[in-house]
Amino acid sequence: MRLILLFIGCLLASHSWSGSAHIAVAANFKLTLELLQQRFQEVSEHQLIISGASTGVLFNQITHGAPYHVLLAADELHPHKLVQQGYGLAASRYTYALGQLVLASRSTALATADEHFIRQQLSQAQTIAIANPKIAPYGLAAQQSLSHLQLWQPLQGRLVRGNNISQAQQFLMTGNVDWAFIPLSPLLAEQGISYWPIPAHWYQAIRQQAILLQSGQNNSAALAFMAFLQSDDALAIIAQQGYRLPERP
Amino acid sequence: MLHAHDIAAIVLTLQLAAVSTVILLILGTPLAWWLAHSHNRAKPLFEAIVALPLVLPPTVLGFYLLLAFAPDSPFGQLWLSATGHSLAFSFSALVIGSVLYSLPFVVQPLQASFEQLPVKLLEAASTLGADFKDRFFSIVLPLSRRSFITAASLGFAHTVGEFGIVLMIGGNIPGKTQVLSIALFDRVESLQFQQAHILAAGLVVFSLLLLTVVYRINKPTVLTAARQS
Repeated sequence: MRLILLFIGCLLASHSWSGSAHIAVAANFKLTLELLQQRFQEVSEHQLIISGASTGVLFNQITHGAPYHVLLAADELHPHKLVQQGYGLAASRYTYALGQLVLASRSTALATADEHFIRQQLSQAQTIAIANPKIAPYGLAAQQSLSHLQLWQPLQGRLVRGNNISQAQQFLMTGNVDWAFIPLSPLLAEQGISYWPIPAHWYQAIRQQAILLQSGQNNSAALAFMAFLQSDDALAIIAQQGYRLPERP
Repeated sequence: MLHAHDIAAIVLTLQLAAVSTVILLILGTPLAWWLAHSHNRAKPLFEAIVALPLVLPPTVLGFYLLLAFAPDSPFGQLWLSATGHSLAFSFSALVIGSVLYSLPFVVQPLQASFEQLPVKLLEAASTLGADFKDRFFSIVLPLSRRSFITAASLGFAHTVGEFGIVLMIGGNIPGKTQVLSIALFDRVESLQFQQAHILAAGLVVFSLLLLTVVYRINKPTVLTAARQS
């Protein structure tokens, strides 16, 4: 009995390990965060635990008590709401990256495409993957882009909605769809995918914001990570991963 | 009160469950019969395969189906050339997933029932000249009627309650692959708790009623035995 208690105690202790911060990250930024994590753990003695999902889902989890210390969202709306509802610290909120939406295809070369060609291809496509616009900012950007092309309504029955941007990408990678609206970043590591950057004026700018959550304000690892995220080291990694950097204050 | 999308999801779910249940009964009956009466050494292996969906996370099946349904996979190509349509994110894809996932819920009650059939009765009918069709419809079916109802109800209910596989292979297309469990998930994820409540409570009531009917028409022992085997 005592052994069992000891065992449970160890489990609980390792869970609330003081040197670690729990980061909730929007699916599009997860790969980049893993690179940042490597660097962060080299330059500090802190550890990061990473949970990835769509921004809407993470927001939902946070307002229902998820034990995250930092949120790296894919928009500014959800961090703003977290401040309003008292879950996030207003002063910590800032834009860490600007997202770039692309249209990706497995079968069609898109390097020299133009708006006319894109509209024509999409209107003939069998299935197109997007992230769910209700919960994923890149999905919303995809919806706005399709609306710009006046294809949002006509394509309804052919739009496959991933639960987050990773699932939309996974539908493309497994060959289940030919077309997908996804962020540029995760594509950089992939072979055999052709993509076309969506013109910036087709969708509302994707300002990805970070925010320190209430539970993280006394967590030294979380504070150290927020500082690290703004270091030149981190900015170089973020830029290299296909994001634009926000104008510096 | 109910949004058009939700109604479409309910209709789609009932269609999916109905089609899957019919296919499950057609495929499951001979399979259960063989499992009940075979003395093949490989029988435990086949029983284990049928029971696999009970223990595997739906993500395992979802993952393999996702790969299999892709238009450039052998199975996906075969389907494309046979039907002219891509299988991924279609109603047919959901049916295939549901049939695989609900298979034990149909096969196990039937197998348990077939195992309890009096062999002597069937032999007697046979000596009196009843052919296989006669024996099945005059003896097997009436004696196993309750098990067929149980199997069909459980297969139907389990398909209605399916989530993990559909999430992976469905693509959440309203009116096409957005079944009830996915529509509910969608509502919850987008914080529309009002509509979520309607769908969730509806599912609870529906499932409770269906299961109560199943337990009512069955001697409880038969159902529990079937579930435990």
